[in-house]
Amino acid sequence: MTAHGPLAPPDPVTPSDTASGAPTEPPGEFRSSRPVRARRPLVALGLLTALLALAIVCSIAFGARVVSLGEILDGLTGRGQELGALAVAERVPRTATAVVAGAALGVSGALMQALTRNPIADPGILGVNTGASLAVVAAIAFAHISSLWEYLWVAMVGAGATAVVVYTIGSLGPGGTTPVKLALAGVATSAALSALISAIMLPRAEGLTDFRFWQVGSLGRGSWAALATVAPFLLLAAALAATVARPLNSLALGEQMAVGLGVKVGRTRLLAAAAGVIACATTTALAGPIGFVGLMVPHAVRMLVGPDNRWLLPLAALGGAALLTFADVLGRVIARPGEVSVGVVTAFVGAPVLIAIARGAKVREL
Amino acid sequence: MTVSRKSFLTAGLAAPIAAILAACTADSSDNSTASVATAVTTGEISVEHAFGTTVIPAGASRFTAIAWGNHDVALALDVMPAGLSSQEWGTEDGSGMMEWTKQKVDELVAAGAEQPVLFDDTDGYDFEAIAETHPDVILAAYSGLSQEDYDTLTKIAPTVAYPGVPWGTKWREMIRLNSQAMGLAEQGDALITDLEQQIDDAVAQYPQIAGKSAAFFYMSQSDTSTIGFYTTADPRTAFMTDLGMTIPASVQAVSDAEPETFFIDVSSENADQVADVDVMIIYGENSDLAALQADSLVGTIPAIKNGAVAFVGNGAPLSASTNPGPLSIPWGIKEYVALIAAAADKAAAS
Repeated sequence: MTAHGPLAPPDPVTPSDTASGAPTEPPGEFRSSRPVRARRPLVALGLLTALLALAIVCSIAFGARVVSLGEILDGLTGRGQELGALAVAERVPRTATAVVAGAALGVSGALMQALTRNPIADPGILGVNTGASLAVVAAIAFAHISSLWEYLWVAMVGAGATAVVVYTIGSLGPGGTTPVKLALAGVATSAALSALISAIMLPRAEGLTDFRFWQVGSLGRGSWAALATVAPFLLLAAALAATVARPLNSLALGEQMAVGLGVKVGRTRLLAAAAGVIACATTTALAGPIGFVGLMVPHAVRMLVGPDNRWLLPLAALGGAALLTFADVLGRVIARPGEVSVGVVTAFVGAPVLIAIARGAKVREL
Repeated sequence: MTVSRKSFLTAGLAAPIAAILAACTADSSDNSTASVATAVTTGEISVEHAFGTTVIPAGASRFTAIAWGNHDVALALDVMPAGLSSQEWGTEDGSGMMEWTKQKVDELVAAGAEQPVLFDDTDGYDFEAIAETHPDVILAAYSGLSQEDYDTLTKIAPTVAYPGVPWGTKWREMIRLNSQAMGLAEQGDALITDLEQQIDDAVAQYPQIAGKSAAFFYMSQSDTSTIGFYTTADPRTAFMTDLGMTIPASVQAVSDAEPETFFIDVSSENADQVADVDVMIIYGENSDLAALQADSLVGTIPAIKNGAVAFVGNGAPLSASTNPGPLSIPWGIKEYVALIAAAADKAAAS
């Protein structure tokens, strides 16, 4: 892992404040209905949709190979047999994979931040992606599994177990679960699990490609077939996320307040955790462990629309999709004629953001 | 690299070495009459490498080998190393030693040598364990030592590092540097000559590989987005010229442009960059070919399309023997050349 910088101690709970520093507005049910506020989510929706569209265009047009407009058209229509056209055709499922994986990571990060009320929660930082990865690596090495369908189930188990362990460690000691404790528990667990991945893979993987994949995520395995395999899981995660968006808003006001508002706290937490874990475990099975997307995107979206999860979750999906797609384009063009794995790119972009968030005065429980 | 003063064999060593070399030539698989040689350096020996010059004082007699293959140089000269790095990949019996290494170690132990200590390098060098073997010299001519590793090792004993690039030591250099450091330079040269003869004999049966271009690749059939290959700095790709094959111009150009690395990844979008390879040697199984051929980008490479691919396995002893060394060449050269010849039969006429 990269250096994370000193973590500022958390401020006292001020649930109505947002990490974005935007003018305070009560989340969810309590939002005032001033028209100027109501329009902001739509502006954000338009902005993020445009960004995603641009990312998709770039992802088709740019890659490790420089292609002509004619080759792009041939590739998209499936006519050309030249390598340039074939390369463009291959970029289409890869782009779709980036969009889907990025959306899942964005939602997963937003859910984890809401659930743990921790501004630096992220499937990577909390170690959940690494847990999923380790489970898959162990199952490949010892149980000889080899299909995405099998990876998926194993990744679920690994991610779920890691989430429980990290949350338990982060809750130990006086003061209960604090953002700093949780993040430290996650980072430490993630480092330990990474070492285990190395210990299992190093003696076995002479072809370096397979080894790197389970340490640093890459979209190179993306295909229509793979997307079809993971689709049910991601739809399930999306449905769960939709059902908890409103109760999560109430939970942000504090547990007692939420109970007073009629929210089933335990059920909400369980469903939100399940949605977050399923989303990131599925992404890991598909594309390996990719960090920082789930960290950065919800923060950016919160700056635009505030903390209302009914807007935050879908917009985090859009933002995550755009970010991961841009990151993959960057990875494909900066190292021509080779490629840089998307997980390396997101780490390069995300690590400074993590440090900024952690060092900033606004580190407080959400 | 220089040998500053002529080094000598201890009494009685020359004869057994000659006998073993003769036995190797006659039949590489059955040389069970090994006797243990004791090498003691007589003069001060200086060996040059990437981190400077290592001076080995007279009287060095305990040799510890780390990383890959260096211990096989000592063993091929009938000298038992005090310690060696264990290998997981390529070993199947859990002994931590390659089949050819184990065979020779067992022979020398039967002849009275002490069992070597094995180090686990998986997560960095185990300096404590290396120090506990009380080496006079540490053999690491083929390795990827960092400056920091080298500095630490040098505090334990004079260390012979790689001459140029990490993991870029050819098999002849590996034998020369390590044998010089043991004071067995002449025996090392004789060993090289003998191995060259064995390679030539194996190649002679397969005229179809002569002049074909070849390089050593690694690819994942589950992620065909990149094509990886070893450059000419790496002994695996460099070995193709020992087989009378040529290095493809594309691989040569990339190797020249990136002299500091031993492997290169190219995006499959640029698959045409390796279109001039007649024969590809790849870690993997024959069953991987279908997936590679089905890939719309990788499948355009003529060698893949033609099936001119020698899959050497991934983790079995043969796959490990393709990284040439003084014991792995005699062990695997016939099978390896046969595999390459079968692939060359499918290569387009060039």
